[in-house]
Amino acid sequence: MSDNAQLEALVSRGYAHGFVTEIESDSLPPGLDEDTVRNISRIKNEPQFLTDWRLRAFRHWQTMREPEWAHVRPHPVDYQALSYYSAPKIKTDGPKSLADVDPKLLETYAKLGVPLHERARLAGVAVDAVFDSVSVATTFKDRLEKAGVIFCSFSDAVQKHPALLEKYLGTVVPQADNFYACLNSAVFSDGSFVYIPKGVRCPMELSTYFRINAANTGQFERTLIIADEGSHVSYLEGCTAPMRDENQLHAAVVELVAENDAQIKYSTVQNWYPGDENGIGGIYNFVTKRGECRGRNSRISWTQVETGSAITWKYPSCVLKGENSVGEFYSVALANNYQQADTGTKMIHIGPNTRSTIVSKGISAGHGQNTYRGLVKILPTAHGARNFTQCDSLLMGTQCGAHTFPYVEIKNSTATLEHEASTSRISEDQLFYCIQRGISAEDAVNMIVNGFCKSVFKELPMEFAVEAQNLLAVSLEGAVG
Amino acid sequence: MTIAQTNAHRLPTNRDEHWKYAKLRGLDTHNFLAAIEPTTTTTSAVASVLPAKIPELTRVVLIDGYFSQHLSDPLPQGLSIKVKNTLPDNKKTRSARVVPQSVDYYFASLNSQHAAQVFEVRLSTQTRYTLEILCIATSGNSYPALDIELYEGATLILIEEHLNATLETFTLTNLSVMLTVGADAKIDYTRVQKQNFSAQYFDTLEITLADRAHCQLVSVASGAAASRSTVLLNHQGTNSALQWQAASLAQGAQVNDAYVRITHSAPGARTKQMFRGIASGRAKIGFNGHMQVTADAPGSSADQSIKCLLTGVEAEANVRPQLEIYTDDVRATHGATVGKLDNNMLFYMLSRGIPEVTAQALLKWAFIADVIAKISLPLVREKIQQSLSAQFPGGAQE
Repeated sequence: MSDNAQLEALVSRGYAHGFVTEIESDSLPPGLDEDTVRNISRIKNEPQFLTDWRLRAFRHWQTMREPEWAHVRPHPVDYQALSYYSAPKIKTDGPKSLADVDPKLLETYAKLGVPLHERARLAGVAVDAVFDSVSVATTFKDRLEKAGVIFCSFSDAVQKHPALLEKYLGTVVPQADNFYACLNSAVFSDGSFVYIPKGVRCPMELSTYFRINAANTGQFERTLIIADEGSHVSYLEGCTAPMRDENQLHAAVVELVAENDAQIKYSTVQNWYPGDENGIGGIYNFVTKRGECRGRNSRISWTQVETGSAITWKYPSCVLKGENSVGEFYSVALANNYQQADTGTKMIHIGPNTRSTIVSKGISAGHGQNTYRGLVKILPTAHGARNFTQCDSLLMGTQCGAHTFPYVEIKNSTATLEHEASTSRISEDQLFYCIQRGISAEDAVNMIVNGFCKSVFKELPMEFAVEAQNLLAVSLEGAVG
Repeated sequence: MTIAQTNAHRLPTNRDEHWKYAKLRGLDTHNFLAAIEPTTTTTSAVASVLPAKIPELTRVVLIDGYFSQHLSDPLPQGLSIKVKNTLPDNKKTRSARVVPQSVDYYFASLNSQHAAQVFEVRLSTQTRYTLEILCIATSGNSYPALDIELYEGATLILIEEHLNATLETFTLTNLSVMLTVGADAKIDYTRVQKQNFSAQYFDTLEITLADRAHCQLVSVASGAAASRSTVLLNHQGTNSALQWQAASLAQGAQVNDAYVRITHSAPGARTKQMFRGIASGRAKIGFNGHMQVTADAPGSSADQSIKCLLTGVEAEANVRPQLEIYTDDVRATHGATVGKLDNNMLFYMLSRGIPEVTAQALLKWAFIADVIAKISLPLVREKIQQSLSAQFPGGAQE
């Protein structure tokens, strides 16, 4: 193909967020034992119930084994070689405002396109910025407080809202849920906490931006979002990491709770460092995300665009307990070079007339291996439950793989389920059509891929939809040639 | 002798990915002794329950896995019985099963150890044959073993039926079939399993397709308290084709489970897979269809269509249509639906004066009609329709 040289150049453009910020940091020495867990808890000045909770998780984690069922092949992780806490050094007790935040950090986030200065921020988005193990800044706290919305770092929530935390923590993703969730429960260092009170529609989009900076650390953040009766919130999550030759572990837990008539929309654009073109380095993104629709007419919607990470292992799920509750999952997952993704969702229907929709688009290129794994389970109590699933895969190149492993378990005869999937490469007819109208091969591929993913992108908030499209274009450039 | 003593390899459990939905309770304490050779009394008892003979088919009867010369037609050239004890040591067990590669081969391995005879079918080049194999289980364990090989251009029409001698006696059937379809050869294989509701039934069918080989398989399972079919098929030759159709009908507390793994290892392989399941009462239906297209199989196509109907309040359907694709030159699709009878269709029939029971039966017939229609011999098709009529009381079977 004549465009080959141009395509090569585009491919080698690489990962734009792979820089390292030279900043002093406080870290715990590598190693993991009960003292590490106690130390994290002590540094965070946590109440006793939380220390005990962490220790229970740690003791259980020691009895567990890494899951092996997923279609991914990670290098062994040496859990004793990781540092479980790393935080940028701060000159005072803690940043009281943005003025106290190290300018280098602000500069880092500006470089990433996440300006923390409120005057420069995107209209209507409040940001919680998490740098390695700690939250460095949360914007628009005051405006949100006026509306009654609590949006703060997890550490702040521990100090200011312990009762709420004790009530909800671990109720959606129990400590012993799986190997990585259990590890997170023991050593999580920070994250975001959101509480939307009864009847409140959150006045702006909430957003968390996760950044791994320090070497030889893992990131273990925890997010808890509670939408009380009749409330509504839209939450965005973004993430990046420096380019390093070793694999770094990111094992997060996200718990969502939607009470009666509440709605939570959770969007992720995941752009962790995916490793180089030979599969060296990159983040292991082993994440547990689950939402519980506890109340009637509640709704939880997951939208994810997964372009980064060397290995992705995540299944954002919905437990539909409330009558008429709705779960949605929209996903675009890309595996290029040597990336591996095993991702999908679980929809557990418990309440009557519960509905769920799954739309998953997988794109495999280079030597990438992309797996959709999804469970739809309709329990005997879920009368009239409905599910629709569509998962399509696009293959670009002869060395990649696209796999679809749906699990359908129906225990109620009034339920209706429809599942459809297809796997194919980009149609030569479509490419030819575009090229003979003067569109370059690269643009044609982008157009076709964007069309392929359109049903997911339209679910993203506007700022993220634009970012996601660009990200996909950059990640895919040169994949066809 | 218990299972632990017969084989160092372990019995599958519901924790094994491919055995999640099978009913395996009680097997860990079951005594998997070799079957007892049938006596003349047993043979006469079996003679009285044999179904009417279909004229165009050569009949072969296996009682508890043993060939019954008395009840079978004279064997033509190419069909033979091999008694394991007279075989040289290296032929006594079939190679793939000496050491099971995974728990999926466990029952085949067990069959290999305990089957006293292997029924061999060797169809030479360009020959054509029609054959009916009746496997009758009388009591205890039964290990039918079939080795079928079609050489270049041969054609075999095979009807395989699994029955019990009585309506109540508990039996455990462990069938193992090795089928090799040579270049340009064609097999039209219909399998009917309607054992009694006390029986347990396991089968393992290993198929290899050579260049341009064609395999059409229709399976109708309506019997046994618990049944499990394992099909392991490899498209080894280029441009080979498989059409796989199955109907699984379960009522009462029956559990019918099937695992079908199809590997496309050569260019141009084509698979069309169709599964229809109806579960009523408290019955459970499981289907796990795993299609793999390797990097060596460009130009492959793989289609799965899976539909389940739940007509019982406590009925259950567990399906897993899986695609594992390692090349981009492929067209793979799957569709799965699970639901109840369509109310609009039912209303349409009721509004035309058709009684509800009949209307429901008609709709159920229509649901599995795609599968039954693929049975190529009209007489066999009619016979199967008639035998299934008990499952759909009130419906028209003709």
